Amino acid sequence: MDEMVNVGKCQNIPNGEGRKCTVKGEEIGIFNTGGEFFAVANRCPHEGGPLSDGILLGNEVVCPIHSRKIDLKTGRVAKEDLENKTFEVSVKNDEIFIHP
Amino acid sequence: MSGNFQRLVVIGNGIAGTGVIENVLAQNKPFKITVFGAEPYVGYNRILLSDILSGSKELRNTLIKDGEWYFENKIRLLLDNKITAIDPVLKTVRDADGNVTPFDKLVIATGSNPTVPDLPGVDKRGIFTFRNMMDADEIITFSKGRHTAAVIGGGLLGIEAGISLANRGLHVTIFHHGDRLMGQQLDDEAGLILKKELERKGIGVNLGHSAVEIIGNGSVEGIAFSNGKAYQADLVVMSTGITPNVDLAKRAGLLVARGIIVNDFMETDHPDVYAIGECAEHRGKTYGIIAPIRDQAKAAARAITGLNDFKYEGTVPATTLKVAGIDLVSIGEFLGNSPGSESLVYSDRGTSKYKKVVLQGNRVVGAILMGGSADHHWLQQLVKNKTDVTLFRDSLLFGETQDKGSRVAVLNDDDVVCGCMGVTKKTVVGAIQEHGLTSREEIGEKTKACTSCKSCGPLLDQMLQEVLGGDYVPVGEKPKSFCACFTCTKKELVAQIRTYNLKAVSEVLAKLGNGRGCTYCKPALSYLLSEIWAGNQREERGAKFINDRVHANIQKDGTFSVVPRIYGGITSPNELRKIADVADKFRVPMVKITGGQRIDLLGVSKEKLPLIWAELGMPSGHAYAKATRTVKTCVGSTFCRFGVQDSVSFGIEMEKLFEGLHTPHKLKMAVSGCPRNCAESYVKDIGIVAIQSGWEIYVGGAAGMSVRKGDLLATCKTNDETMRIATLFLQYYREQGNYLERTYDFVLRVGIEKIKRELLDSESEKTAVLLEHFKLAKLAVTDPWKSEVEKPFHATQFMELAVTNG
Ligand SMILES: Cc1cc2nc3c(=O)[nH]c(=O)nc-3n(C[C@H](O)[C@H](O)[C@H](O)COP(=O)(O)OP(=O)(O)OC[C@H]3O[C@@H](n4cnc5c(N)ncnc54)[C@H](O)[C@@H]3O)c2cc1C
Ligand code: SF4
Ligand code: FES
Repeated sequence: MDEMVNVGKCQNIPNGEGRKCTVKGEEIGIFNTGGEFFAVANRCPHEGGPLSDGILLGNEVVCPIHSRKIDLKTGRVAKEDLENKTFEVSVKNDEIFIHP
Repeated sequence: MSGNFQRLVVIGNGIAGTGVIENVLAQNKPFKITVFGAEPYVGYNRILLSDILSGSKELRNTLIKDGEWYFENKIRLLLDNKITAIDPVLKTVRDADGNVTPFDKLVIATGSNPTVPDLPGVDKRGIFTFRNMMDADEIITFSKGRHTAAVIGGGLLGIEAGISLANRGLHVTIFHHGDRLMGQQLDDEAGLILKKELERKGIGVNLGHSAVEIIGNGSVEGIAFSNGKAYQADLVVMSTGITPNVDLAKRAGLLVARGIIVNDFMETDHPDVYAIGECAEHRGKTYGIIAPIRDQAKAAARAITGLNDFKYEGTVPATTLKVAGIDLVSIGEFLGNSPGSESLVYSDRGTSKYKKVVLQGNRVVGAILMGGSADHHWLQQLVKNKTDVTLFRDSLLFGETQDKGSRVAVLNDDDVVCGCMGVTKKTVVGAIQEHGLTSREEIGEKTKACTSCKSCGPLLDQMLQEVLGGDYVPVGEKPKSFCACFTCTKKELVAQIRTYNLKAVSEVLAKLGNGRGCTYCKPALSYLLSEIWAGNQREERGAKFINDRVHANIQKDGTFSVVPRIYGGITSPNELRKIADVADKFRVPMVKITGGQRIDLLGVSKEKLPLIWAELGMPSGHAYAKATRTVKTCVGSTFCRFGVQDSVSFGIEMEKLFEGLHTPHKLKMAVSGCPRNCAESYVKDIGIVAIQSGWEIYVGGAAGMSVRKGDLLATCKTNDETMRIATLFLQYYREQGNYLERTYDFVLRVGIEKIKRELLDSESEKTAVLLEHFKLAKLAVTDPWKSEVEKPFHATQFMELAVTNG
C-alpha cells in the first residue's frame, strides 16, 4: 500500500489540465487544479470517457464524452449514484508521486 | 364671424374635445378657440384612471396635452367651468358663472355619466362611481384603513376598478347580475376563463347577483342581493353602465335619441353645432370606447373648417382589458350567434388561452383573444377591410404567427399603429432610431404611442425587434448575462475585457466572473478573447474543450478523428495515395467520406496525431472546431451541363479565404453552380447559389438537428462582390453571434432585415470596420497541425506520462 510511483515533473501537467499514465495496466488521470494535484481512475464511470481530457472546474473534472462531473477529491459523480476511484498524490522536489 | 377669424367653442375637455381642437389647429385656419371643462383639471386621459386608482400613475402622467400646449396655441381653457345652457338661435353658451360666450361653431364633447341604479341606501357614505379624477381621489382617501371592497357590475370598468382596489391591498369581490363577466365583450367560455384568472389574482367573483339594497348606518356596511344573499363591504364601487351626457343638447332642442344624433360629418341637426365622443349617436350607435374618437374628431374638424372631405363611417368596436397578466381583446361581433355565422374556436382552460374568430360568409366579423393578443391588429384589419379569408381560413386561428414578423413589414409608413393616440409606424420607427429607444415605455414617452389602451404594445415590441434586432430585449426580461458565472452581458464583458486589457480566460474569470467558470463560459471566453485580441490573447488550453487542445475530434472511445483540408472537395490521385499510405501505416481503423465532401481517418489515438499530421503534410480541416468548416461544391460550369458559374473555383477561393477562422459555432458552407443546388447551398450557414447574372448568398440555413432554408442575404453580379458580402456576414457573425449560437439561430435573433441594413450599405463605416477586423483575424491564422508538428505548444500535450517506481 505504501508503494509510490513517480509520474514526472510538475510542469508536465499545465495548470488547469490533466494527463494520463498507466500503472500496472490501470489508466490513471492526474490533474493540476492550480498548483494542487489530484489523481483518479481515468475512465469515466459512466461510459469510459477519458477524464484526463476533460475541462476542470475548480476541483471537478467534466468528462469530455457526455459531460458527467466528477469530484476529484471524493470521486463522486455529480447527480448520479456513481463513484470513481481516487488516488493519493504527493509532490516532492517538484516531482509528482501517486499511491496506487 | 367676428373679424377675419371664427370662434370655435368646445364643451368638454376630454379626449374628444381635445382631439377636435388638434385637428382644427393642424389646418392652420384662423380660429379663436375656447374650451370649457367641468372638471378642475386640465384634460386627462380617462382610460388611465385605473392606474391612478391603483397608484401606479399620477395625474401629471395622464394629461392629454399639458398647460403649455393650450398657451402656445392660444386656446382659452376654462376649467372647473360647466356650461349650463346652449342658445342655438343666438349661438351662445352660458357657463356656471353666468358668463355668455358667443360661437360661430360649437362642438359638444360632454362624454357620459355613470348610471347609478336607484337602490335604497345608495346615498350612504362609501358608495362611489368610477368615472373621473375626483372619484379616484375620493375612493383612495376613503379606502385608507378599510379592508373589504365590493364592485357592483362585472363589466370592463368594474373589473378594472376591482383590480385597482386589490392592488391597493383591499379584499375585493365583484358582484355581477348576469351570468358571465364582460357580457358586452365575451362569450360564456371566455367569461369563464376570465373569472378563473381573476380568482387566481385573489379577486372574488359572484355571478347572478343583483343588488337590491345597500345596508349600513350612515356609511355602507354591506349589500343585499335579490337572491336573498347579503355580503359585508366597507366600500362599494358602482359600475353599472354609462349614459351619454345629452342633457344640454336636449334642453337646447337638438335632436337626441340615446345620444346626440349626428351625420357622417358629426353635425347635429343644427348646422353649426357638432357632437363627438361618447355623447354622440351615429347611425344608431353610441360608443363607450375611445377608438371611434380619432376619426370622429377628424371628420368634425374638417367640416368645421369648411373642407367637408372626411366622413366618419362607424367603428368596429374593439376592447382591451388593461389588466397586467390578463391579455384580453374582444373585437366586433364576438358572439357568433347570428344566422349564418360560424365560429372557429381554440380553447385551453388549463393555460387560460382562448381564441375565437367569428366568420360571416367568407369574412371575419369578430374575435375574442385571451392569453395572447398578438394578432389583435391583424384581425381587426381583416374585419375592417372585410377581407375575403377563404384562402387562409384554416390558418386564421394560428394567426400571423405562421409568418413571423410580417405584421410590421406589411404596414405602410403612414399606417397608424397606436389607434388611441394616432401614432404612425413612421413616427415610432423614427423615434426608435433617433433616440435609441428600447422599450414600449420609452416609445410612449417620446411619441405618446401605447400610453392609452396599450393594445398596440405587441406591435411596438415587433417594431423594436425589427429595428434593434439582436439588441432587443423583450418586456419583463432582463438582458441576458454572458452566462451564470457573470452578472454582465456579453456586450459589457467585451468592453471590460478591453478596458482591463485582459488576455487570458483565468484573468477574465477572476476579475469579472465568479473565478471558477463553467463548461460554457471557459470555451466561450477562449473564443471571445481570440476574437477580441486577434492572436494576441494568452492561450490557456485548459479552458478549451479537448478537441481544441489537440486539434482533432474526440470519439466515444477516447480516440480521435483526423480530417485534412481538401479545398472545395477537389482532390488528386497523389493526395489520395498519400492519405491511403498514412491510413495503412498507422493502421487507421476506418476511412470515411464525410457529408462535407472530405476524408475522415477515424480511431486515431492522441499520441499518434502529430505523427500522422507530419506524414500527411496537409493542413487541418478544422472538422473538430467551432470554426469555418468545409466549402462543399458541385462541379458547376466546369463539367455540368446546367452550370452557369464556376462553383468549384469560387468554392476553393472561399475556403482558402475563410480557412482557420474560429466562429461562435461551426460554420458550414457550400457553392452550387446553378439553382438545382446540388451542393445543398440553401441549407448551409453560408450558401452560395449561381444564377445567370451572378450569385445569390443565403445565410442561416441548416440541415442538422434543425432544418431550415437560409434567408437570401444578397444577389450579386460579380465574384468580388459576392465574396465581400459573404466575408462581411462571416465577420458580423463572428462578432455578434453568441457562443454556441448557430447562424440559423443568429439570423432569427438578429433578423435578416437588420443584417441586410448593417451589411449591404457599401459606403457605411461599419462594413469597413468589419472588413478591417476580418483582415486582422486572418493575419493571426496559423495552421494548428503544422504549428504543433514544428513547435508543440506544450511538451506533453499529446503524451501519456512515463511512470517510474518511486
Ligand atoms: C376607468 C375607465 C377605464 C376606461 N378604459 C378604457 C379602455 O381601456 N379603452 C377604451 O377605449 N375606453 C376606455 N374607457 C372609456 C373612455 O375613457 C371614454 O370612451 C372616453 O374618455 C370618452 O371621451 P369623451 O371625450 O367622449 O368623454 P369624457 O372623457 O367623458 O370627457 C367629457 C368631458 O366633458 C366634461 N363635461 C361634461 N359636461 C360638461 C359641461 N356641461 N360643461 C363643461 N364640461 C362638461 C366632463 O367633465 C368630461 O371631462 C374607460 C373609461 C373609464 C372611466
Ligand atoms: S447545382 Fe447546378 S451546376 Fe451544380 S451540379 Fe447541380 S445542376 Fe450542375
Ligand atoms: S463517458 Fe463520461 S459522461 Fe459519458
